[in-house]
Amino acid sequence: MSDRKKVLLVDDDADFVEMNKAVLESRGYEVATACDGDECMQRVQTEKPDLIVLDIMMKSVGDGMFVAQKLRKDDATRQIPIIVVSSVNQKPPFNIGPDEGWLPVDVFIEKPVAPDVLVDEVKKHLGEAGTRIERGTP
Amino acid sequence: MADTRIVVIGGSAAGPKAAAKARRLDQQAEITIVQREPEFSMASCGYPYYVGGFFDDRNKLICTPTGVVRDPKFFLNAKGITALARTEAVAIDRGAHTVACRRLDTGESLSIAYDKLVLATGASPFMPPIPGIELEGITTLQSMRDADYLRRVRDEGKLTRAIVVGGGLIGVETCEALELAGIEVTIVEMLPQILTFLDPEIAKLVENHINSKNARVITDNAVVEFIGQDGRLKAAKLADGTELPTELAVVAVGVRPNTQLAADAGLDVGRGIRINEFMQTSDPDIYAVGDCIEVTHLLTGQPFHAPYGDLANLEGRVAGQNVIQGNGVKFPGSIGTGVCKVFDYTAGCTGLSEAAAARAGIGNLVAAVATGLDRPPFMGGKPIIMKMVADATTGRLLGFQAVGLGDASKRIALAAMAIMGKQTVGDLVNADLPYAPPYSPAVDPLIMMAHVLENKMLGRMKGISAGEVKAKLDAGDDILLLDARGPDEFEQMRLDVGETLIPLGALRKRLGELPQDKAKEIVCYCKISLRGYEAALVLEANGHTNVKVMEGGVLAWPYAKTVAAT
Repeated sequence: MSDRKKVLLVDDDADFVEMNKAVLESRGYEVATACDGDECMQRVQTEKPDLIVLDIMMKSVGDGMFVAQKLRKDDATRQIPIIVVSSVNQKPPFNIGPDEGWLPVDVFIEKPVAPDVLVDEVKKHLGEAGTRIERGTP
Repeated sequence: MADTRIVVIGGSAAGPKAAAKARRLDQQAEITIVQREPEFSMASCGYPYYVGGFFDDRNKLICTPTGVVRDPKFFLNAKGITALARTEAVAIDRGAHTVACRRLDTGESLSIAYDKLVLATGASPFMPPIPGIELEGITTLQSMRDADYLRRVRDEGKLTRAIVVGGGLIGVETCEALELAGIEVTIVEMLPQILTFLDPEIAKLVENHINSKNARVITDNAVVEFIGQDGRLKAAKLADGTELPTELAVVAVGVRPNTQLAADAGLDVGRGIRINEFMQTSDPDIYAVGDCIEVTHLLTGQPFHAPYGDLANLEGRVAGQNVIQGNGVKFPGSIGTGVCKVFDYTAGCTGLSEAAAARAGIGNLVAAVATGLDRPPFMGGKPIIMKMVADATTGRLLGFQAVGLGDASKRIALAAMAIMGKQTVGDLVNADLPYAPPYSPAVDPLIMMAHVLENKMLGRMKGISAGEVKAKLDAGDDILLLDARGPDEFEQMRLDVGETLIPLGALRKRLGELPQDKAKEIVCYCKISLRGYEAALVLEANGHTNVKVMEGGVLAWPYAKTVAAT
């Protein structure tokens, strides 16, 4: 089995996915992709990613948020770090950030994000367990 | 030397406090408040009570205790402060020491120069991207506009059903306000409990109280869609598929600090704008106060967001002093003290709950629950259910929670001072508090709580929480539950989980009815578990070796119980 870490990139913006897939692969990560919440849930089962980069507004306005909630409710997926990259807060009245209940993710990054910033966050959340937000049993 | 120029961005609580304090210390300084809203110094914590009809005059939210509305004229005449309403700060030029502003009514731009700047930009409601959230009938309760809207809903009296999304402080206060307006209210909380500053078994008691009104609480479920008709809300769909018909939804799932202006100016931002104990940001000429900052938790040492009106005023006072006199005074941080009214209940906490302490990695905890009366029974005393958390080694008090019909607020305040003063359970055991029957029983419930925890720490009492007893019953464990109350009390209210009633007064004569196996687990309790404790001592003296006391008694039992019809 490959010891390369696998990142699942979930975004309905094909350009975002394509560019960041190339960036992450160039840094030695294996990358799987999905374009909405439903596909993300399927890929999590089949690909068993080590980390998820997640958009919020996809098929529906809160698609990614509901995916994060589902992933953290399930024992099998609770420990997977989630990095949200989204422009949802630029759309009034939405105003969100990491939250134990509503958005149980490790970090929230506003779009646009520079490739190096995303890579740094991926590295941080794959390497240092102590940086994660608290995850109790649901 | 030219007069010092102080600019304050934000005119709600912390900002005006900083400006007023600065003025008191320096009559010459040029002081300007920039405020986006039309009002100043709003008592925003009072909004639910205005909505709920506790008072009718809207101006009471924005006037001084003598009844003068705090408007720009008031600030200029009484305080000598220039207050610019409907003015938004759009950028800070730290090099030039200027703030670029825009008058919202005219679109006019202006630049205001500062020597010292105070950021009090507040917080905004957390608004989750739920489909349909733009429908008419969905609101927050964060601004005067929101309060006006909900008050109008009350006065019109047309709506019959509402939901409150979020079971935090604002959520439960809003629930009460709407229920008092004759509306049937449902709180939908995503986490397994409401009021997460409380431990689950204590929060459950508050939930039960809300459910006893024209309101109900749904936990562990979330709104996934708002469904509308002709642009108006008509139902909320939950994660489990339930559809709740509703005409009004108040979203109260917390607030997020407004840090953009600070971040754009290159100031350090964490869970809020980062400040030191002088309320100074990473730029020594810029201070920050109120809901936009992160503060240090004095027990965990960790930064956290504490958007409370009382702290905002204290922080504003410190910043106001420091911008005039140099960094002479400090705001050390917070222990997270809070209280709320939930119908006839008071619910609050100070310091850490047992769960929060565990989350913060504080090990070696000891905690106990106890029930006490706020006054003697002959003075109409009402119960308070309390939980105290301490360091098991040092005895240092780490947290205190109290809920119930009695005056819990006074005990929370006392415990807050004990925690701030680094006191131990041992210190509280002999506290000299004011006593007279109209105000408290001879042994104040807080002291009684300390006695219970001390008994537990010394091994005199083996306590077991209601939650642990419930878990044992659910698991089918072979335990004997011994109710030590009188038959009348038993008739009125009982757990009905297969317990045995032996009144304390009869226990010594009826020891033969107890299991011959002296190692069998017996859990004793009464109404508040004082008689339960005494029953346990009787059993232990008679050779029973596995006897526990259910902490807090029947009153702290948060699960279903049988209550006689009155």
